[in-house]
Amino acid sequence: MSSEYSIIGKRQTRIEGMDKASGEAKYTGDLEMPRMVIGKLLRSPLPHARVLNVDVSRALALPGVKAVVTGADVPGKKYGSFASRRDQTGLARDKARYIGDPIAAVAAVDEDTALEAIELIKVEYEELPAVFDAEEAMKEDAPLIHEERERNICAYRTLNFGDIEEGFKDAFHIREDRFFSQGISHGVMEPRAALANCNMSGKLTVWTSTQSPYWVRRDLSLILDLPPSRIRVIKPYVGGGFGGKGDLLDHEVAAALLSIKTRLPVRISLTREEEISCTRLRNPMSIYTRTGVNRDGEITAQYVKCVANGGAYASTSIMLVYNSAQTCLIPYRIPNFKYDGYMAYTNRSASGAMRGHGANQPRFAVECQLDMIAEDMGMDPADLRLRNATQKGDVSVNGLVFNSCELTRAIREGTRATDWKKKRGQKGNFRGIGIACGGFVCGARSGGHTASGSFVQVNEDGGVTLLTGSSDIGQGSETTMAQIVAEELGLCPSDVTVISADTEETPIDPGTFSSRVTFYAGNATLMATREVKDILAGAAAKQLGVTNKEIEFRDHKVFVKGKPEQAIPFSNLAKMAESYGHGRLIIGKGQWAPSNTEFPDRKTQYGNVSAAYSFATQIAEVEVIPATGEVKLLKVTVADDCGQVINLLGAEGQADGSVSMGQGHALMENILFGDKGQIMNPSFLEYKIPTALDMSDVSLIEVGLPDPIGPYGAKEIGEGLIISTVPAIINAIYNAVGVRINELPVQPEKILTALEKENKIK
Amino acid sequence: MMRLPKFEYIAPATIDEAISILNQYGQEAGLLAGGTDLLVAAKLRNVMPRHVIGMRGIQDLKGVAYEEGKGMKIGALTSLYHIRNDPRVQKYYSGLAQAAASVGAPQLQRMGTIGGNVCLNTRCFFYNQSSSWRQHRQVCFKMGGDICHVAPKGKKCFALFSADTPPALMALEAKLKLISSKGERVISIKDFYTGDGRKPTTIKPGEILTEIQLPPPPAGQSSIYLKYRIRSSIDFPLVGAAVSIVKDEDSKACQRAGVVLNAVGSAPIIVIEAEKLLEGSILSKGMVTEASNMAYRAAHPVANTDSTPTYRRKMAGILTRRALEELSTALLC
Repeated sequence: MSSEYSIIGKRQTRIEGMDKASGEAKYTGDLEMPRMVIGKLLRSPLPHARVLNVDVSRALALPGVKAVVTGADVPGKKYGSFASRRDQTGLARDKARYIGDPIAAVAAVDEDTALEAIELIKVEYEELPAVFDAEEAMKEDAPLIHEERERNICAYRTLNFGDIEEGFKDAFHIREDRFFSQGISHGVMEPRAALANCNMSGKLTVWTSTQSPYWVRRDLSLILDLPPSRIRVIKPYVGGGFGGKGDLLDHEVAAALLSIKTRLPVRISLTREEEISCTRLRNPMSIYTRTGVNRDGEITAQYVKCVANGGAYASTSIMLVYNSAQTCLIPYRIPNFKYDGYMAYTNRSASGAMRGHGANQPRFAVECQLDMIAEDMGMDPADLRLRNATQKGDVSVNGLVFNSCELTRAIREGTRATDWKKKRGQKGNFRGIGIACGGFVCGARSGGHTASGSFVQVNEDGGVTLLTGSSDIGQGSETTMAQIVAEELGLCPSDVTVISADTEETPIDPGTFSSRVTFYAGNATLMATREVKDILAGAAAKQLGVTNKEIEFRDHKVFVKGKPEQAIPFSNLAKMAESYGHGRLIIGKGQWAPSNTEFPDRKTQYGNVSAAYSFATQIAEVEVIPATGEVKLLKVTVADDCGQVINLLGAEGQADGSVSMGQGHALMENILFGDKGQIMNPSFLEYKIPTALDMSDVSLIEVGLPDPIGPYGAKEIGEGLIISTVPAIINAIYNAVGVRINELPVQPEKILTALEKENKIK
Repeated sequence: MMRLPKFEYIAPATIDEAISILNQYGQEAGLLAGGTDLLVAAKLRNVMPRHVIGMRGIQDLKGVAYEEGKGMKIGALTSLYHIRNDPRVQKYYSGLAQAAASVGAPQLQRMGTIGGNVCLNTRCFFYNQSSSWRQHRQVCFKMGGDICHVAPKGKKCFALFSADTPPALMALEAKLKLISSKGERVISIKDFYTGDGRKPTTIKPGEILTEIQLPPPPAGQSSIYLKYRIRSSIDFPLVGAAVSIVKDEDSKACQRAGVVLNAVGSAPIIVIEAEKLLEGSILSKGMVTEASNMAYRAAHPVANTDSTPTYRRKMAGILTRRALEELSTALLC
């Protein structure tokens, strides 16, 4: 398939790679402006407390302090990722809801002065009873964290398709198990930072480390009570987001308020401690699953209940509790399905979106349970999955339409490449092999507009400028977009200058989340590029005396198909096309949103939320040291269907990144909540992200075929992979030593204890 | 990024100069060797030295000297990276080379010094946190208060000793040279640690650790350092075990044994019972098991770092057993 392309599907290094590798790339925290001052936040030391009084007089009196703001200075309405769950004010107006909730912010001539000023602010609190566990929080007598939400239930969704009772009646074998997935930090390399500058005419510009300048502008507009057009948000280089940098956060609000007050540029950079303990986490979640299968191992019914700990604020809660359900229905055919998903407010640091967003936790549970069922039934777990795998053309019980799906092929090729049958049967060497599958959306339909847009301009020397609203947060989308432009026009990606993610300069784009960027912005860029291609082809056709359709663009040349010897250099063509008639610009625009998606029905949650779905199988190989319970992850084989690969190097990077992040989730990482919900390990020393030495071999096998809607047939790869890493590892551990751990992370002690309990070691 | 507190930086060129500055400022001075401990602690406001004495320029404190029959002298400012790569350390004191190689990561080993590692402060979940993190809790023993958050009814500080090289040095019978304005003293490293989490060493005000001395390796000596941690690099030990054995060439019996546990108390723990058991005997499987059980019993970790005390105590036994097994293989050949 890919052989007809000159750029698409190849290994493409980043167009901004040299900037980043040399250290020249400027991230928000590096930005400097004349007269810039530094801001710092004062955070609550209590998990739940009424703020009775904030005395800032001593801080204001400190030389070098330019301004202090508190909740009383916040003019606008509450904000939040979803309109129905707006619960944030930036700075506490009435209550502090977790240890770390911001109370006030200071701007001063330098960081030391700002820190000193923070300590001079006196806050009177009335400590309130607090609750930290999600299931405790939903009890009748639990203290209310947001008064408008009864029993602290921030979000609840239920799905009920088919006939669950009948489905279980038809089952030959049923299992019911409980699982727990821990709190996880995104571990972004770049801690959040924001620089706000309100000029004398009142226009506010904010540079911020975000996944969505558009969401930041929308929510800043709400909380500052300013029309969106008075706010410009620019995304500089971003050092990783993984879902966490979607929401507007307190430091962005504080920087804006301080700049409006002082008319000075104000920059606030979070410390690593703040980044881990005061931003967003992957939700800790309890998952209860009940699955029934018939004699052949086909799933007849499945019930999933998720209880997520949301922490102090809603963030993307509504999406999370929906995602946990609908992603259960992507990889397998489940005729009867019921789901109850809760997210509870607690007095802990807020949870939010993170790579996989709600899919990871139930995926871990269900994939482990499928292995248990396979064992109960005496089946090979890979065969069990093959029996249930979703096929191209299927429509799931909740209305998801699978126009492309190569999951069966992924399972077959993955097991073949790993010598699955043979390794699976080997016993006594403490080595194990485990499998898991998953699938993900390519941009879920949400409320509001979801379209992406691009402008393309060909310059007189043949260089191209692309304006795109999409936000590259390190995943490489600017390179992907440049590849699309280059493929169409027969250029190199380095010929394309990409200007992106600036609410004033580039088209509006919802942002980087839900694995939508390649699919949406890719299609928009393709449309815009084809517009300029038409103009250029017309000019070339006239010159060469043929029709537009006969013109081919390749290797910086334009020629009649099959006759590359009579070529016009691309740079000449651009000049030629510009000077036709009275002169014109070689510009094109594209905007794209899928026409085959729908917002899920509010009552039933039925509906095709995504234009396409990715699929993947992962096979993990481990070695366990029985004396200590330590696990070595030897190799992970990823068999992936992301449709047509655009950048193979990028796909390999996503596979490596998903495996290392999944490995951390499965074996090492754990946000430790101490008394009062305080995070005990807010540093990269104590929070255990795997290092290069811990990383296993990763082998990526691409099995996808082009999807009918994705650009060139591409689908997502950024999130779909990680969701099957964790269960593949846990299943491999079971295969190695026969102990099954249902609570993450599986640190050595759990394995050793289980082995001792089962008397499996001497 | 966290900010360093303001301090005056002084860079003496000689040991004498450093000692006189240290005497001048007393408790308000902090000695800076590699900075991997002090600067982090200063950023967290665990310590707030008004004057930082940068030792880096004192050339006399750097380097490794080895003389047959006399042993090895290591300048306190020698980097851990240098030590892990020194062929003589690797040959005669392999346990030390392994311990140095297990510290942090190569970048940290290049900055960190052996002297700094020997003098490393004790650590605790409740202590190695920023001042804002600690603000709502009562001041603990380690910070000068009178409560322990790990053991609220405890009457002492349980902060954890987790430097990697000291247990290896103890198992190898190392000595430390300390210099002050009153002169110098050389003590066994076994007498250097107090076991008090608040003040882990017996270093006196005005004293500087200048040299680590290792006795000439007896014929038949072998040594090892094993470390348990969650990740393969960067982590402090959750348990460490340093073991050394001197075997008699003729009888093959163990002449002398050193068994030292790490990161299960406020000082390295010498498992004397195990050392006595091993000395004079030929290492059998049963004896290795017995010695590792003694190590298990000697370890008393508390919940002040990752992993549970129960598991870390088990690991103390397991690491000791592994270390003895590896050395006894060497012993038999």
